[in-house]
Amino acid sequence: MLGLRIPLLALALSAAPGAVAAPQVELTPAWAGWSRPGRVTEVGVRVRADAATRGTVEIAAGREAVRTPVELAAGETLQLEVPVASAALLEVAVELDGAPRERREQVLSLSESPLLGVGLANASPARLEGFHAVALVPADLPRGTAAYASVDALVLDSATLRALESRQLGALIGHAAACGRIGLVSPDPGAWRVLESAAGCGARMLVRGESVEEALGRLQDSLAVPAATAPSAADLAALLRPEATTWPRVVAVLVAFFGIGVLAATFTASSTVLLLVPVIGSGALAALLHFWEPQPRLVVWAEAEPSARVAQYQAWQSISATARGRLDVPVLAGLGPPRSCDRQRRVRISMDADRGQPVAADFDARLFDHVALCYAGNFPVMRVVAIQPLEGGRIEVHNRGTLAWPAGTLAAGGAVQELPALDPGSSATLRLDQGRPPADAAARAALARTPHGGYALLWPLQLDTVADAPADASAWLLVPVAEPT
Amino acid sequence: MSAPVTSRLGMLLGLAVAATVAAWWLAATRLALGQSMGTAGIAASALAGLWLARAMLLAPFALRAGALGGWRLGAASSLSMVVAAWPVVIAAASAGTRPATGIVLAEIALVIAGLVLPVAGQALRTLLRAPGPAVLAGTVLGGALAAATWLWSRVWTGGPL
Repeated sequence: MLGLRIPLLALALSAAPGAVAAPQVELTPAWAGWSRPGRVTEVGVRVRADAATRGTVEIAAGREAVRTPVELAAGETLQLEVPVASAALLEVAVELDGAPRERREQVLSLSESPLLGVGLANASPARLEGFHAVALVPADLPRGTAAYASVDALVLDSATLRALESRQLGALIGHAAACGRIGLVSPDPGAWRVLESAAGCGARMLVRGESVEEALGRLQDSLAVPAATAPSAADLAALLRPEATTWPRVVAVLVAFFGIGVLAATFTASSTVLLLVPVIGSGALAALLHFWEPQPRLVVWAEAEPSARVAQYQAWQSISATARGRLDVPVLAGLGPPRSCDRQRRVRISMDADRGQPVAADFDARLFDHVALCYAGNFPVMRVVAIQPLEGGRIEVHNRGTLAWPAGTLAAGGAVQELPALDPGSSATLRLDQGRPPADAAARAALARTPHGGYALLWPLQLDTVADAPADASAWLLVPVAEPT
Repeated sequence: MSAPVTSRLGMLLGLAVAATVAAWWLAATRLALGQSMGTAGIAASALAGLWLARAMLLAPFALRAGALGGWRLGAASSLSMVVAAWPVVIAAASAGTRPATGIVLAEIALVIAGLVLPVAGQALRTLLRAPGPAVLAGTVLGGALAAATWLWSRVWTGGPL
C-alpha cells in the first residue's frame, strides 16, 4: 500500500497550484478618513504580490460593495482609487489566485456637522462657523469628483494646489463645476482662471482671498448664497414613474394559459393531458420570465441658470426586473459614477481596474421589481436667456447668446406653451394667457421646477455622448428664470 | 359523477382558484406599481392564499373522488387541481422574497395530499361497503380537514393571509 501512496502524494503535490504569499494591502481613505453619512468618499487601495497572479479586490461599504478584478505582475504594486459610499466601516477583501484571502478594515469618521476641508501648507488654523474643520495634506484630496461629496466647503492655498497630481486637479475642477464651495488663498492667476472658467453656478461658490482669513470670510459670505438644489426624484416623479412593461406580459401569458387550460378541460378528459398542460405551462412561463430582456430606461434632467456656462444634471437609469435572481445593470459610460438610487438596497458595482471606471452594477431583484442607478454630473452649456415682461400679459424671450436654440417649451404661471427656435440675438413674444396645462411628464416636471412667479425654459437634449443609452432615453435641459432679466 | 367529469372538475376547480388569486394578485400589483410601492408582500400573500385555498378544497374533493371513483381517478383529478395553479405559483414566487425551498415543499405537501387522500376515500368506500355513505363520510372528514387547515393556516403558510 505504501508503495502506491507515495506516487499518489507526489502526483497531488505536482498538481497543486503554486502557493503565493499573502498580498500586501494598504488603504488610504480620502479626506484623512473623514466624510459624512450618506455621502460618497474615496479609498485608495494599494496591492502588491510577490508573484504574478490575478483576483479581485472587493470593498464593502454598508449596503454597497465595489468589486474590481485585478491582474498583478510579480512585485508590481497596483493602485486603485475607488469611490465608495460613506460608511462607518469599510471592509476590504483581496482574493488572489493561490494566495490566502486578505482582509482589511478601514474606519471612517462620519461627521454630523458640515465638513470644512483645510488644505493649508503652513497648517494655520482655519474655522468656519458651524463647520467641523479637517486638516488635509495634498495626498488627502481625492482623485475622483464624486468623493468631493464628503466635504461641504474647502479652503486651499496655492502651495497645496501646486502639490496636487493631475487627477486630483481634474477632480477639483469637476468639483468647482458642480458648484462646490471652494475658497482659495492667494491662488496662482493661471489656476484661478482655470477654476473660475470651469465653475458652475456662475462661480458664486468659488472665492479667493489674499489671506486665510480673507478667503474664509468670503467663504462665510458665500454661505448666504443658497446652493442650487438639485432636483430630487420626488420633484420629477411624473417623469420618473416606472413604466409597467413586465406586468402586461405576465397578464398576457397567464390569460393564455387559463384559456388553454379551459379548452383542454372542455375537449379532453385524459388525465395525462390535464396534468401535462399546467406542467408545460409552468415550464414555459419560467423560461419566458428568465429570457425576457428587462427594458432599461434613462431619464436625464439638467438645469442651468440663464447665463451659466455649466449645467448640472441628474440621471436615473431604471430597469424593471423580469425574474427572481441577480440583475446586472450595465453602467452607462459618460454619465459619471453611479449609485443605487435606493440607498437601502444592496448593490454590487463592478469596476474596470484599467480604466478606473464602473462597468456594471448588480442587484438582487425579482419579478416586477424596479431597480435604478442614479448619476450626477455637469456639462458645458450656453443658453443666455433674457425674459422681459411686456404690456398686456405678454413676455419677450430673448436669445442673447451666440448659439441658436432649438424649439422648446416655456413654463410660466402654471401653464406651458411652445417656445419657437431662436437664432442668436433674436427674440419671441409670447402671451402668457395662451398657456395650456402640461400634456406630458416632462412639461409637468418643468412646471414643478419653475420658480414661484418666474419662468422656465425647457429643451430636449440629444444623448450623443452617452454610450449605450437606451433607445427610448429622454434628456431635458431646464433653464429656470426667477425674475425678469 | 362519471370519471371524465371528475377529471375535468379537478382541473376546472384548480383553474378557477388560480385565476381568482391571479386576478387579485395582478390587480394589487398593478396598483402598487402605480404608487411606486413594493410588490413582494402582495406576492407572498398570493402564494399563501393560493396554497390555502387549494389545501382546503383538496381535502373534501380528493376524499369524495377516491370514494366515488377509486384512488387512481381520485389522485388524477386531485393532482389536476393542484398543478393547475402552478403557473401562478411560479409567477408569484418569482415576484416574492419567500425562500424557494419553502414554496417547493408546500407544493410537494399538496401533491402528497393529492395522492394520499383519494386512497383514504377508497378505504372509506371499502369500509362502509357503499358509495353513498362513503361519499358522505368523505365530505364530513374533508370538511373537518379543511377547517383544521384554515385554523392552522398561520403556521402552515408562515404568516397571516
